[in-house]
Amino acid sequence: MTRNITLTISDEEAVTEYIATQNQKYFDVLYTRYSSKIFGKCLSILKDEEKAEDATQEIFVKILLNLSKFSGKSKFSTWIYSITYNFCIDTIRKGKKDKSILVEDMTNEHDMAEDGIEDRFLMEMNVKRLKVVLEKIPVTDKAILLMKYQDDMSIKEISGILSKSESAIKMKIKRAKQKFKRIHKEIYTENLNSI
Amino acid sequence: MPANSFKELEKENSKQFDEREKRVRHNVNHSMGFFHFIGDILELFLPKLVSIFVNVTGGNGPKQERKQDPEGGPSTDGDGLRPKYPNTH
Repeated sequence: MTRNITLTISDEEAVTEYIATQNQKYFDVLYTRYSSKIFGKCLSILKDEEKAEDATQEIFVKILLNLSKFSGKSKFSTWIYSITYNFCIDTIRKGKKDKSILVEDMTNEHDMAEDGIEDRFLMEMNVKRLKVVLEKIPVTDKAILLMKYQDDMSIKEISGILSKSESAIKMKIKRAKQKFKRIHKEIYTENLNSI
Repeated sequence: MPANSFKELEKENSKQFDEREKRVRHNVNHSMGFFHFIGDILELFLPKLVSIFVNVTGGNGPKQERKQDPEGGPSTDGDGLRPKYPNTH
């Protein structure tokens, strides 16, 4: 029964039905669809499996408690990913007492000197290298790159999630890519041309 | 070479969730059960607590409306069914 529902019902329908009936099967549909993805994103940002597991749990409780606030203006996936990214960014910032913001500000000047980078450079990279480089860049830049290249979010959607203007987001993406390339170059200088 | 390494990374990370899936689901359900329990308790006892607080602080509590019989009969209590003075009808 639940399997049939999983295949046929949309996210938005599952949300509506869950709010109306509080039936566990509708929660199961949403959990089955998104739990591993949320965990994956938490793991990418928090870099620790235990922390990622705790974060996934807290994010799901947050989602369920705020489900009635989902207005349907954006896709459900965008809404839950926005909760996920903001939760992870807040967790990192609390832990580091805003060091990530300082790192970000300090590296901006250097980055401005470099120019545009093709998406192919990031998207066709070896996964292991991608993982290593993502671990080295500030949390906000990492989140922006994941939203753009992993979740295929539009500039408008990202700007909504991070509460910034679309032009600011375009600039942030550009800087994040530049930082990514610089760090990649630092780590894999000798092999850069072979990618 | 993968078409999108970010998607590959997502798949790789998601695989690590398989063994944790049941535990997280159980914990989420447990947390939600706790919140519902607290909600039910508040729903049940909050009006009583407010009423007690109002009485303790010297309030009169909710007033009952008295209805006047349109035909000039004696007024009745708030429920409008029971005559105020029995044996007069």
